[in-house]
Amino acid sequence: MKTVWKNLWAKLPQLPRRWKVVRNLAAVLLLSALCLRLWGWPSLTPYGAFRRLEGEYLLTPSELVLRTGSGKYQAFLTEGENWVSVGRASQMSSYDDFRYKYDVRLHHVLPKAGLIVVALPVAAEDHAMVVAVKGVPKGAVSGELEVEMNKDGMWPESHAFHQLKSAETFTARAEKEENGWFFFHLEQHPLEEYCLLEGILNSMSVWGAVPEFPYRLTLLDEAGNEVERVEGTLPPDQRIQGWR
Amino acid sequence: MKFDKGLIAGSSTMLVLSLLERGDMYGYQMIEELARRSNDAFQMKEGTLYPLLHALEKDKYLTSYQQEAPTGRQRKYYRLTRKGKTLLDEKKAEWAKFHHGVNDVLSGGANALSFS
Amino acid sequence: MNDKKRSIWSWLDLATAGIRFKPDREAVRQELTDHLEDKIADFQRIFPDMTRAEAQDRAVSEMGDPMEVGRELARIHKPWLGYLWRVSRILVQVMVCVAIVGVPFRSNPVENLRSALWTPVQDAWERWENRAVSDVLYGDGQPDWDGERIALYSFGEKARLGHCTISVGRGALWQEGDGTSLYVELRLDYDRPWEAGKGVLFYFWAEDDLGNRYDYDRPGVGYRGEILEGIGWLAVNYRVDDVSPEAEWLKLHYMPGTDLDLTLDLTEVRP
Repeated sequence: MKTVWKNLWAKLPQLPRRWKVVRNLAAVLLLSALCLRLWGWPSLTPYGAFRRLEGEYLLTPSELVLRTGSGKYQAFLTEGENWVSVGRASQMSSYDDFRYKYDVRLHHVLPKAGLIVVALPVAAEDHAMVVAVKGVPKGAVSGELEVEMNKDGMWPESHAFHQLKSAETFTARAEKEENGWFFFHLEQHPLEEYCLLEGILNSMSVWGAVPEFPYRLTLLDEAGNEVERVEGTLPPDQRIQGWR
Repeated sequence: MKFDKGLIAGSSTMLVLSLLERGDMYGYQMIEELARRSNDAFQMKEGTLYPLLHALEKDKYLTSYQQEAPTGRQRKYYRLTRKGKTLLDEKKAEWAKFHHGVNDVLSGGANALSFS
Repeated sequence: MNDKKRSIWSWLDLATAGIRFKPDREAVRQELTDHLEDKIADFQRIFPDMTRAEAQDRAVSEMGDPMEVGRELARIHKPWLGYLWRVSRILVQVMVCVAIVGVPFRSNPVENLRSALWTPVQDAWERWENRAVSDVLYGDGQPDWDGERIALYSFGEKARLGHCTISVGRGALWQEGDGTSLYVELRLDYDRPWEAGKGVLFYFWAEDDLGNRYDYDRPGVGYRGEILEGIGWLAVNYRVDDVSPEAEWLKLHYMPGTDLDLTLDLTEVRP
């Protein structure tokens, strides 16, 4: 069998060594392109996967403003010319289909017209939920945010569900950053207690965006005087996913 | 008769290429043929021939292949390529010019075109 | 007897020592060995009473200085191309293993392989044919098609959004039932082929000069028929139902916050 192969191989034109190298490298390139294509051009990092989703939905060029989480679940806040987007990448546990190594989705794409208040669905390093604000009136340099959360959007079978309060208001303060953004860190309660915020963050862990909770934002100027007080609700989840 | 090394070195390429003009040969055969044609005036050394053959093959003036020799064993035969033939012709022309030039000088300038 | 053999070998070794790439070294060694054999055989033929050992000695000594020959040969037979060839061969073997192991890591590997290989061909053919989605314009081959074509357009507009070129080709206005529908050839060409995706098609919306909005979450706005795909591009019939007959133009937009503004002049009808 092997000799048959050898004879066949010998019948093909013998290329000089230089061309053999070229032929081999071309074969390697072709094979890797084929494999990559079959695997759907997998992204190496969650951020890479997210960037690609942005590219698919024509939301480029954009700049990364904030990133929360590390490892399995990560959320991103990016800013384009006239829009702001918030999305996430979650590492999938099964590798059946290489394409979906990271599940990426865009939760919110908001035009930069007026005030933007949006929450990131993955906790920051301090285990707090970050709510980002932009488009405040001139002169506002600090503010206080109150968000009233409830367990409506939570998964009722989780064992902590029944021990949680049905509603609670979380508050945070923040100062304006250089890039014009405010980042409010809504902190969880200390470990001894069951915390509604923790429950909400856990129940969103793979798919969801922060539910449309009502908020109140108070903006202050340098002297500490109130500039504006706004009431609204967090934006709805647009559930924009990749589709091939 | 041992020739001045300088005289031989310059024309080795031409001699080797011309050997292959009439047909393909292997290394040992070439040394024999060279000696035969020159009536033993040229005895090329292996140390000169093989590096030369390999260099010419590398530069594509020659190609090689394995074949059974008259002795019955496998030998590496060399063949002149078209590029090699061109080089040979160039070298022959160069040699002819050189050859005439030397002769003219030795004959006392009998063919010189101008007088000093 | 063995000493003499060794002297041949050591000459050969010295002469080929400078050739670093092993296959080349072996080949040259073989050629020189053959030469030596011929030489020895010749001596024995010319001087019949010479012993084999003597013939060998004489042959080796007449071959010349092995170091000098070695230097010349080393100069000519540089190993780099040999090493590169070896590396390239290993790479091919590795890649083949990766492909054999990795390809079945998808459902329907045969189907996906077929489409992976076929798409570039299909892509080339599509471009050549410039077929796009003409069947809608002419109503061919659509089983559920009944209606009357009112007008034909050649819009030919192009715009850039993100890393993508959006182009609008031909269009047709159809009277179906009691409404008029506009169909437009919409094509997206991504700069980066791996970003191409069909999801974008759901986020185009339109408005006309009369102030009507045709939002994407409104039924009847979207696309109809097949989505043609290639490497880095997709094409579809974009459709807007119940277009007002008095409308003079239609503007195509994308998600709020993006600046897409493709104008379709509805007054310029193709004969």
